[in-house]
This record gives sequence, structure tokens and C-alpha cells, in this order.
Amino acid sequence: MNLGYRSLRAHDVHQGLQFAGIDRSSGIVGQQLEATQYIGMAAALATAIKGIDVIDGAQLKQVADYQLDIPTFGFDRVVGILEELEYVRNVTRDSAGRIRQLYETVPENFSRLYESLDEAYARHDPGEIESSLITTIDDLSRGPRPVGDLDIDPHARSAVLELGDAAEAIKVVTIRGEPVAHSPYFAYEHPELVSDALSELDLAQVRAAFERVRGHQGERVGGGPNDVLNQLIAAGLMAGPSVANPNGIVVPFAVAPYGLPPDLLTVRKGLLDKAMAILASVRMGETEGGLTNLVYPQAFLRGLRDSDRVVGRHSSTQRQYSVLRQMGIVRFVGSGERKGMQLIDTDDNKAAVDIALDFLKFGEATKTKQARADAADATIDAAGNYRSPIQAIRPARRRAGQVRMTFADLIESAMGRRPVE
Amino acid sequence: MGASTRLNVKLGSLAAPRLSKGRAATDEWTDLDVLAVQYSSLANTTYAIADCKTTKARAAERVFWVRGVADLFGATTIYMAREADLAPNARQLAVRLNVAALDPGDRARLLEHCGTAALPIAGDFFTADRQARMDSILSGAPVALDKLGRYRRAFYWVFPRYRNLTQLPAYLEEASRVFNPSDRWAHLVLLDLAWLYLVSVCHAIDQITRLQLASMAQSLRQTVVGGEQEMREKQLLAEKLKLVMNAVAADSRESVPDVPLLPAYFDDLVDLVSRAAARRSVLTEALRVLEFTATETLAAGSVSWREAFPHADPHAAKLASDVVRFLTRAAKVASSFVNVFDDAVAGREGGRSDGGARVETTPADTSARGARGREAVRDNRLFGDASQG
Repeated sequence: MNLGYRSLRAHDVHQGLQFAGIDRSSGIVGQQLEATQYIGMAAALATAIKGIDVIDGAQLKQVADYQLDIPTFGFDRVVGILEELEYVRNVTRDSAGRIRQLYETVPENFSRLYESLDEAYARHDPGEIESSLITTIDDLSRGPRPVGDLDIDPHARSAVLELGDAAEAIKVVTIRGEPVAHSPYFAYEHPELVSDALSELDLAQVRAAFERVRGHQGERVGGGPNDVLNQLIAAGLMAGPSVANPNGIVVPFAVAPYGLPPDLLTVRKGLLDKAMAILASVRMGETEGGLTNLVYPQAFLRGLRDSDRVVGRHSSTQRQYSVLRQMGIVRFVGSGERKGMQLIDTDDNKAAVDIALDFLKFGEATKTKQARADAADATIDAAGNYRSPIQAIRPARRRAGQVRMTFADLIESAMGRRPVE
Repeated sequence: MGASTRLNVKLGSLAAPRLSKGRAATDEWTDLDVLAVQYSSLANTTYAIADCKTTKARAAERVFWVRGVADLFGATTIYMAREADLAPNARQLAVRLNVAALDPGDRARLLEHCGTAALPIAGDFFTADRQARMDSILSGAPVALDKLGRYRRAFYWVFPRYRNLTQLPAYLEEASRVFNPSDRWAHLVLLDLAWLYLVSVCHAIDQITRLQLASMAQSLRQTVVGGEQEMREKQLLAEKLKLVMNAVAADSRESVPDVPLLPAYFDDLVDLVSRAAARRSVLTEALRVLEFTATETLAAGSVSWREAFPHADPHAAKLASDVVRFLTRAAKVASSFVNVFDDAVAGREGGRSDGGARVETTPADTSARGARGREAVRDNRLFGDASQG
């Protein structure tokens, strides 16, 4: 697993326990998932307070209890984890030790946030079973897998699956006589239909399709009714927003909207629909944009996010993005054929663009876990092209001695970062 | 008027290295009595300057001088304050060059119009010995700090603005080994540098707003390096350096390090600038927190920011603290400086660098000090205490 993914999955486990209403303090979950739960709670709290700067301790405790499912008795320990990481500081307490106020300094960059939490997770020394559970959940986030293929020590397999089942994180269904594991965290809309759908499809193809779409959200669905993407969309395992191409043919694009908070699938479903429509329109622009194709979809969406800007002055804009106008996301600006478009300035529309950007950049809606989805460019992408500061430190440590110092001085001076006097 | 100020700003340039040993390779041009900085979302970072003298001699020449200094800073408002009446010809020239010429009567009226709402309700912030107090403590700084001192007092203002985002941490890091939390001068210098850095952050926000605000990290990258052309030059330079280092290291087993275009603390800088940009409305107040805490709380051992401004926006103190924290991390200075600053702002025990011996102040004491501060303003010392002659 890449750095940052352990705490990301711990966050998933925390949210899964919260929404399944599972008693997190007792039974196998309470005994075996202590480190994971605390890191998951720390991730939930960090993403909730990000950008708030100055926070009242009593209010935070209430929000943590009511909205983030962080029990009152665990609150101080969770704040302690964040304090250790310097995500919160200047914590002032009253004479009884209750937190009065704190400063928030959660990193702006999403990947740095989870990377540091990964280090904290390691310091919490998770047990073998819970470590395997986290690895397995991450593996299953790329699609279902036969139980026999899971990378778990055979002696620990039943314990990991039992824990996964108790935490509602891993489910095993029998398909054509073979046990297959999947994670309900990564099923879209109808997780209960997963086993039915899987029994009809070839598992290797399903997994390949999942990985393809995770690597390129908004994958164009070109095949006929037997195409596995079409079947996954029909089974509700993937979404398939559609846009008309220049010939008037409606083309679906496969989106696997996983890693979303449950409210986006329920009460805020409209927001997710908008995000998927934006994604599909942009993907259409990349391949069938009319005279010229869209080359930089992320830059295009960042421009659209700025509601003062008019983007996409193009002869195909009205055709390609008409669905966005119908959904109240954009308005067309200008006269003649080359109309541009402008975001209609609402919080929902901005959030929808953010989620679409998330899908483009990360392959899953990781940033929607955050309270404020305006993090700077991250260094993780879906293809795993990822370089962390920690990874950069290791080779540097190996370079001991005079040569390293000389090179370092040379670099800093050449780049203009040494005092000029 | 609600701005943050800096007194006795020296302006100078780097000069060709002198032949004589031990002399700094610098030339001093002139010094400015008062520089005021203010940030507003509409006007961005703006400067006002004031030339304050007790004599009225050569007033017309001084109008030309102050106009030139204003151009150097890009100041939009210029004051020339005198302790005596100003000659009509000097006033005419001042009007022509957009300089507000103020005699004692004018100053009194101006301050009356501006009111005292933005002034501290406690402390001796406007006493005449403010600068002398600071200078006295800073005189205890070691010689190793001279280079940093020259940058802090003079070069900062003449370097291209974007360069200070990397130059200031570099100067501080070079002097970091002498920064000891038990030395009061170290706290004052660090807060002064934090003030300067926040001014640089204000300019960076201006630039990013012009470039592409929705893409903060990318725009900041360009701002730090200096622009697209400089980015490409640095990339080319990095490639050449790598070639040279590979050649040098060819005979050894040492691997050649990467050549990063950006400083190691760039991620922290993104965090800081993002926070500052999101709190534009308190940027000026954050500058004032740094200024007040250095000169009043730490230098004079007097009241804290919270005592002097009980209704201030807490986000300003937090942002000021973020800047101090950034500098300690970027320049590898002890993190306990941040704790002392936070304690000093809140008026908590341990927030004084004078050995922690906090002088307890009763509400009566603080209100008396506040009254003295207001008196200082009413007595017209706001522009009159900077320099003599």
C-alpha cells in the first residue's frame, strides 16, 4: 500500500462503523480494532476541522460526539493524536483539564494529511489482524476478489474475515462454489445486489473493469449489452452518466463513485449527480470535443470552479455541456456560435466541481471526507504516481559525508536560496 | 488608523566587495522614520510613509526626498510631519507631489478625525522611548547576527519582493544556532522577521490573486521562483547541475541528490499562504499582533495583546502564530519560540522572556496604561516621536 492509504482506510472503517451503528467499544471490534479506530477518528476530526483555525473546545467535543461518532471518553486521546502531529496546537485547558480552545493547523494538502496519520498509525502499533484487515480493505477497494487470492497469512485469514464481517467492512459471498470477498464500503448505491451481480459476471473481468475505472474515472462505455461495464452499470455497481456526442448518440461514461460519505448517496445525492454529469461532459470533451478536444480537463475544471471566469469558448460548448445547464450548474455566456460558460455561483455547484476534480485526480472521492474541499494539488494519483517526502528522505540519509554537503550547498546557492550577502 | 507600523527603516544596497577586511559590502542610502502597512481585500497591500522632524529647515527639499522614498516603497500615502509651522512654498510643493504636510495643528485634527477605536485600551504602546527600548535589548544580540541584522533592517526593502519568501528563511537559518529561547533579543528578532515575512506573504497573495487563485500551489510555485521564465531557467540549471554532480561523483559510490526547484519548506508555505489568503480581513491585524507583542509585551514586559485588544478577532493572533511557527520550522529554530509567543499574546504565564517573572496587572493598572496610550495619541506623539533633527 502507498503511504497514506492505511489511515485513509482506517478513516473508511471509522465511517463504516458509524453508519452501520456498530458498538465500537466491545466485542471483537472493540478488542481488535483499537489503533484503527483511534486513527480513523483522528482522520475524521482532522478533516472536519481543517481550515477553521481557532476552535472552541466545548463545541468541538459536541460536534465530535454527535456528528463524527467520536465518543466523549475517547475525545482527549484523539485530540492528543492530532496534537502529536501538530495538526492542533496551543491547546488551552481549564483547571479540570477540559479543552477550552485550540489552534488548528491541519495541512492544506490532502496527501500530507494522511501520510502523517500513517506514521501515527504505525506508532500506535496495530495488531497483526487489524493490519491485515486494513490491507485487505484497500485491496478490495479495487474490486471483489476470491478469498483464496487475498494476501493474508492463511493462519490469520478466518480471524481477519471474521473481524471484517463484524465491522461490516468485508463480506464473503459464494459464487459458483467459490468464496469471493468484497467490501460494502466500495459498492455503489445497492451493496446488497453485489452478490447477485457477481454471480452473473466473470470475476476477473469485473476486477479488471473496477481497476480500469478507478484509474480513469469517466471511462467511455463503448461496448454492447455484453460489455462488462454496461453490466456493472445495469447492476448498480457503477454509475453511468451520459452525454450526447456530435452525432447525437448518447454515450455513457462509467464512474465508480466510491469512498463517498453516505449522505452523498442519500440526502445529498443531487450533488453527486451534478459531479458525475460534470465528469462525463469533460470526458466527452477529451475524445469528442468537436473541432478540438479538451487537453487539460483538470485545469478546465479549476477554471470553471472560479465562478467569475468564463471558460470553454468553443463551438461545441452548448452541445457538450447542455446537460450542465439543464441541471442548473452553468450558464452560457456570449453570442454567436462560440459561447463560453460560467459556473452558477452556489455552494453545491462548487462542491460538485470539487468532487469531479477529485475523481479526475485521485480516482475516488477522498476529499469529500474533508469539511472544506479546497486542498492544494495532491501528490497521490490513481495510478500510484506518488512521491512522498518520507520516500525522499531515505535516499538522502544514505548519502553521508562531504560530497553530500557540497552538493547540498551547491544546489541551495544555485537555486538562489542562500543569503545573497 | 489601524495600520501596522515600522519605525526607522534603513534603506541600502549591496555594493561591490570592499578591499578592506571586515567591512560589510553594503551602502546605506537613507532611512525612513515611519512605514505603515495595511492590507485590504480591495486595495491589496498598501504602504504609507511619514517623515517626522522637529526642525522646519529645508522643508521643500525634504518634500522631494520623501516623494522619492515613497516611490521606492510604492507608497500610496505620504506624510511629512513637523514640530513647527510649515512655509507656504513647502506646502504648495507638497500638494503638487501628493504629500500631506502636517504641522502640530494638522496632526491633532487628523488624529481627532480618525478616532481612537483602533488603539489599545491598555499598555504604553505610543510612548516616545519605544524604539530606544527595542534598540537597547537588540544591542545584546551577538555579532554573529550582524548579517541577519543588515538584511532585516535594510536589504529586505530593496530586494525584489518575491525573493524575500526564500531569502528571509535562508538568512534566519544561517543564524539559527545563536537563537536561544532564553534570550529576549532572540524573541524580538524572530517576531520582527515574522512581521517582515507576513508582509511578504501579503505580496504573495496579491500576486497569486493576479495569477490563478483557484490553483494556489501552482501559482505560489511561480511566485516563489519568480515567474514562468525563471522556472524554466531553474529547470535548465537543475539539469546542468545534475550533469556536473554526476561527473563529480562518477568515481565514488555516492548517489547524486535530486535538485529541487523549490525549498524544502514549500508545503508549509502553501499551508501558510492558503490560510492567510482565506483570512484576508485579519492580515493587518495579524501584523499588529506581531508588532504589539514584540514591542509592548516582550520588550517592555507590559500588557498582552488580549489585554490591550480584548475584542480583537482571535484569527489574527492565530495567523500571527502560524507565521512564527512557519519560520521556526523553515529555518530550524527551536519550536518553543512559538509557545512563548502564544503565551505572550494570551497574557499567560511564561509569555515573558524576562525569566517568566510576570508583573501582574490589575484591571485598574491596565486601564491606566490604556489611558496613557490614548493620551500619547492626543498629545500628538504618533508621528512626533520617531526622530529628532
